[in-house]
Amino acid sequence: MAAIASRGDRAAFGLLFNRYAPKIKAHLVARGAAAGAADELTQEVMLIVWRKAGLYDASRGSIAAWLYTISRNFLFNNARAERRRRLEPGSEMEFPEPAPLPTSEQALLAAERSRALATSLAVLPPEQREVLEGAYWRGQTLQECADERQLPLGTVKTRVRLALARLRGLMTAVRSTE
Amino acid sequence: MTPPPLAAAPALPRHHVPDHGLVEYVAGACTDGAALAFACHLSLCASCAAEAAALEDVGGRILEASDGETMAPGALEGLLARLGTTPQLGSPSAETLASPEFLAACGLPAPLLRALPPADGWRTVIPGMRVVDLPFAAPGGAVRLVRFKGGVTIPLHDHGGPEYIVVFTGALEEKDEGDGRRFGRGDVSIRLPGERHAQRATPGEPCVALVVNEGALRPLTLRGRLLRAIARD
Repeated sequence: MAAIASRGDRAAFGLLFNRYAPKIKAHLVARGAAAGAADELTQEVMLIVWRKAGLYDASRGSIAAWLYTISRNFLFNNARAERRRRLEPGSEMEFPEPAPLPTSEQALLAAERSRALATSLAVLPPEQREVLEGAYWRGQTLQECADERQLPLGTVKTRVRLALARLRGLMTAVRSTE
Repeated sequence: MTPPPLAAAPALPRHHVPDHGLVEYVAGACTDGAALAFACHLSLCASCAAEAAALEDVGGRILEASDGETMAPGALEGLLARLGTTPQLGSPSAETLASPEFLAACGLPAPLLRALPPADGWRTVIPGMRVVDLPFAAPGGAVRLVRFKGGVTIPLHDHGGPEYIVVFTGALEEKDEGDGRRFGRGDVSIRLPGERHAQRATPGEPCVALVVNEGALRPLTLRGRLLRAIARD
């Protein structure tokens, strides 16, 4: 990623493309992109990756995580433009950037992440993996996940919580939110 | 109007986005308004930003685990041919934005500042409450930046759809049937239909907040209904 950003390294970009473009395409298809349009949309996403390579911050997360957010933002912005068609054009607005992580917290997270990486999604029971994939892959709200499976919302929230706790090695399983 | 004072050492937000809300935000499953409100909170809350980064890591692993869909032949070559005309962005740099003096001290996230009209672009909805609409769709509701005059109250009301508020400066207090919480800089308030509350901007200082309503407010008092009748939405 650094080579792509600092030297405009096309060979490095090609490697990144070969590894991730098919996965990004699968993500766009899972979110409802028409088969005929998915290739073009994937190229759009990879163009954004090329443009923004310099903004990738390794201390914030893995390359895959960053690519996931680029793909997600692309889908979101497309859908938002669609919803706003009737409003006046030319008033696009970006989202604020997240707050910088305090250095110690950053270090903690990095350590936590490398441990978490050893824990693959494969360890999750199918019912936990399903709800994560419903949200992350197909863009379902937890309510939609619950409706599709005819489960109470609380059950879906619990599965998400358990899945995340498992993935993170039970570290930050319970975070008080109030 | 004098610029609102900014505390020298701003307190950390105390009211956060709940975990399931962060999951939906990171997964891109939120409504436009909720996503904007959560992004504003994340821009002011290192704790939630760290949590979101961890959740994005899960997204990365789900992406990594995908078998992928074969790209059409020549896709990479086609894209490489377009790179020459696509400039790369530099590293992020601190940007300075010209903004009206009264807002400069509010500590608004840059994209919100950019979306604002000049000072006279604000319109009064009810006395003591001026708004500017943000370019987000909210069926049956509104996505707005709101300036409350200190001491202004919004009488007891219910919500026709979810309400998300993020305070940037000053504070909003819950009154009456609300549970008395106080929302200061960076705090997010989430109210669902059926959850009633009244609010008051803390007297003595103006309050600037993002207010997302995904349904109409339903006033529950005579004063509220009168205000509704005169309100210029």
